[in-house]
Amino acid sequence: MSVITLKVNGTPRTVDVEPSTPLLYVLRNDLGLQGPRFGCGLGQCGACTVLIDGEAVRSCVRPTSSVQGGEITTLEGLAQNGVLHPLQQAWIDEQVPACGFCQNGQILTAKALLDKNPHPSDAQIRRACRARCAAA
Amino acid sequence: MTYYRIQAAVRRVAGTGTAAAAAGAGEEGA
Repeated sequence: MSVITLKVNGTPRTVDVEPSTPLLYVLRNDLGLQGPRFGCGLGQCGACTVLIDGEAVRSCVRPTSSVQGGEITTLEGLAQNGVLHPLQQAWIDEQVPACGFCQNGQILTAKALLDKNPHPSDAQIRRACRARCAAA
Repeated sequence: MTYYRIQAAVRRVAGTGTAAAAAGAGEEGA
C-alpha cells in the first residue's frame, strides 16, 4: 500500500492504496464519486471517463500512481455552486440520455473537445464523438 | 438517436446549432 495524494475536482485527496489500483476504483470506492462508471473494465467503452489535465482518459485502466500531481475532474466537478455546467444543461435540453449509464463518458469527452476547441465544426464533433463517446 | 442528440448538445454549447450553422452556410455562400 502507498499513500497517494490526488487533486480531484480542485480538492487534494489522500488515499492509501496499491499503486497499481485503477483510478476508477479509487474514485468510486475510496472517494465516493459515482460519476465515473464501471463498464467494460478494458478501457474501451468510456463509461469510466474522467478528465486528467483536460484530457479525457479511461480511468478503469489508469493506475492511480500514474496520476499523482494531475488535475482530475470527474462528472461531479462540472457543476459549480449548484449550477449545472452548460454542457450538462444542453444534455437535458436536447434529451440526450437513453439509459444514461454511459453518459458520463459522453459528457466528459464532449467537454474535453470544447475546452480545446470552443467552436468545433460538425465534422470535428462527429469525429470526437465517434471515436470517444461511449455507445454513441 | 443518441449519437445525433449528443452532437446537437455539443453544437448548442458551441453556439453552432442548426440555426447558426444555416446562417454560417449562407454567409459562406454569399
